[in-house]
Amino acid sequence: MPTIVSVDDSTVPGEGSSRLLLLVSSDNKHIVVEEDIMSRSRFISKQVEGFEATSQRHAILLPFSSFVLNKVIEYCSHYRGYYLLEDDPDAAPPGRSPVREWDQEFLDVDRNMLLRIIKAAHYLEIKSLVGSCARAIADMIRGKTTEEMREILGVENDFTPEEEHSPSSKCTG
Amino acid sequence: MRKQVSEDDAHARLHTLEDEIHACRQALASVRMRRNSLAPAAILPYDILALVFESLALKQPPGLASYCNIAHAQEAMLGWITVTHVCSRWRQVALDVPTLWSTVTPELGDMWFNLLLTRSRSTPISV
Repeated sequence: MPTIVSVDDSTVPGEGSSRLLLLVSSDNKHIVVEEDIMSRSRFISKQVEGFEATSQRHAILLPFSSFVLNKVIEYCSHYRGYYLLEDDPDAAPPGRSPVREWDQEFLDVDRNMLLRIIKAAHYLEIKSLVGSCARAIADMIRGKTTEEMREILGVENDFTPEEEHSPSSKCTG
Repeated sequence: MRKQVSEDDAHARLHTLEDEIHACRQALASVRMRRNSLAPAAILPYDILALVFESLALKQPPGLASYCNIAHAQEAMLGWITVTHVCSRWRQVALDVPTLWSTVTPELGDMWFNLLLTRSRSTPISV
């Protein structure tokens, strides 16, 4: 269930047709963004539908930092007005996400940032961004040994001795 | 006689120490699991991990060692399947996505052929 709070009209710049949203990050930064930019997010779209039903103005509290939120807004701004099949709720899901060159450069960030972005995109239900992040993570670990994957992604080998040696475990796949 | 007792004693102590090593390994696995429960990559939501693995499976199918730079030939042959050896959660998620296992790779041998058939469950198979 999303967390929302009521705000005064004066808190949100823009009136009526300007359609501005107030997003509040986990570090309590208030970011005003045009609704149109964030319409790629199914989560935000559903929130806005709810606001219209109650004719109240709300701020949307999000569980990630302003740094990550700004990155997501940058992505949404770049694709403002673009049709991306993955984000169309009425379209059949594509078999695989298309490779977009801009996304590859956009996601050329460190591991922690990439993981934060994919979690934020997942929360905001931006399927195109989730797909691009998943591909970027796959590229990080592609061709690596198990131990290298653990080092790259900061994961420990937590198999018990029994799991390590069971017939259906890592010895046999 | 004294030597025999001593050997028995050594044998018993050896067993005790092996038990201790086993208990330490169990404890270490438990601590590592608790650590992983805080590691962002280990606790990614199920469907995100599944997407990552699906993406990797397209890039690095099993049976094609030339796809990778891995020095370890056995791991290289497994391709994307190596993610199932990283940690228990990754393994759990990968084993739970039958579509990941629906491309059967004869190059891996009979044991793998049967394992892939089992793990793909009722998903249509491609060879």
